[in-house]
Amino acid sequence: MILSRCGSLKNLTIERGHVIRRSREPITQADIDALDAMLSPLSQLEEFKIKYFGYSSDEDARYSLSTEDTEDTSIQLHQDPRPKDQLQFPRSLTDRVRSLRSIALDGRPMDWIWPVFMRCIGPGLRSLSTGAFLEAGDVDQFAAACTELERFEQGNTSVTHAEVSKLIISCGNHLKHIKINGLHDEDGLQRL
Amino acid sequence: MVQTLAEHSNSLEVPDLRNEVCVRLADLQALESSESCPALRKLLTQNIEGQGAGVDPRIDAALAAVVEFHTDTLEEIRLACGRFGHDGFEVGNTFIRACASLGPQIREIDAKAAEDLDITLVDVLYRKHPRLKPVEQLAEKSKLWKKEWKPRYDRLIEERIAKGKRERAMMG
Repeated sequence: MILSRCGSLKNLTIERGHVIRRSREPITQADIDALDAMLSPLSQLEEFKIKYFGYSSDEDARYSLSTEDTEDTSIQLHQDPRPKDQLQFPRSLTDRVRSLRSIALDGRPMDWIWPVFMRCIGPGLRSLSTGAFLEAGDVDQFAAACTELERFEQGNTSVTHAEVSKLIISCGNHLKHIKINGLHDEDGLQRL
Repeated sequence: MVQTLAEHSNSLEVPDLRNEVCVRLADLQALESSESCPALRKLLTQNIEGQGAGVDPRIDAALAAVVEFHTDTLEEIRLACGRFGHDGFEVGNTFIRACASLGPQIREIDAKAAEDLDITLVDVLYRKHPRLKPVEQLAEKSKLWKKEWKPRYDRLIEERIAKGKRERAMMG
């Protein structure tokens, strides 16, 4: 209601849960629809930050994510999810994400949102901060989509040295700020 | 990684490398040029290789060279080591002497004084830079710690808190 009157808003942070008082309610389609309703009227929005602290879903019951995008209709990451774990991101929401200059996903877990946001990263993005556990190929994908990134922050150890190097080369002289919390051990366990 | 940054990121201002991101001698040497990251404002690293048996003179010299090639831009230097950067990274005379050549924009140098550090170099550093925040692990052995550097630390922290409050108030 309030946000619908803030069409000129450029910077929005949404918080749910706290690092020491995590949200017990799982993310549902109603949350995605509410997010869409919040962002839809904000045509001037440039910076969007989510701080979410919840509980990880069971390994066997992770979210199945999909979008209404015509060019990318199936981000089906996990097989046979329970019906309540199926989340569909409306086209209006993914379009809004594509127009952002700055995205920050802070907290965990992020498996309900990162796979979709990561695919929506466009050439206009200048700042990306994520605590999501990146899977093999993620960095390649957004490094190719966004070559003018000025700021990159990775909050865990899910990236490899080779991936970060590739991102650095891809961004070249645009990159001004890089924060890497740790590196995935390329000689250690196989990553997802 | 630092070598890749030095080679490809000419606009880099802030490399913030935590935990397991190990910075080696060759990484520091890659920044020993005015053409490597000429806009470098902050140097933040928690895991510099070579600490353990006191100051490694090669590392100390390499850090000093990085400072000397970025005297007009560096505002903040934070060096740590150990798991999750919990231990102070020891620096020696060469590094602290180089820090004295930094411009007036420098605000923080967070590192630990080596056992044999000439503590008068720290006094010279703080005298030359009145806006530089004193750090206990670097300056506590100075005779001026209680009389000058700790009061300055308290004052600068108070100013920083007040500034933060003003900014939050302006944000509503």
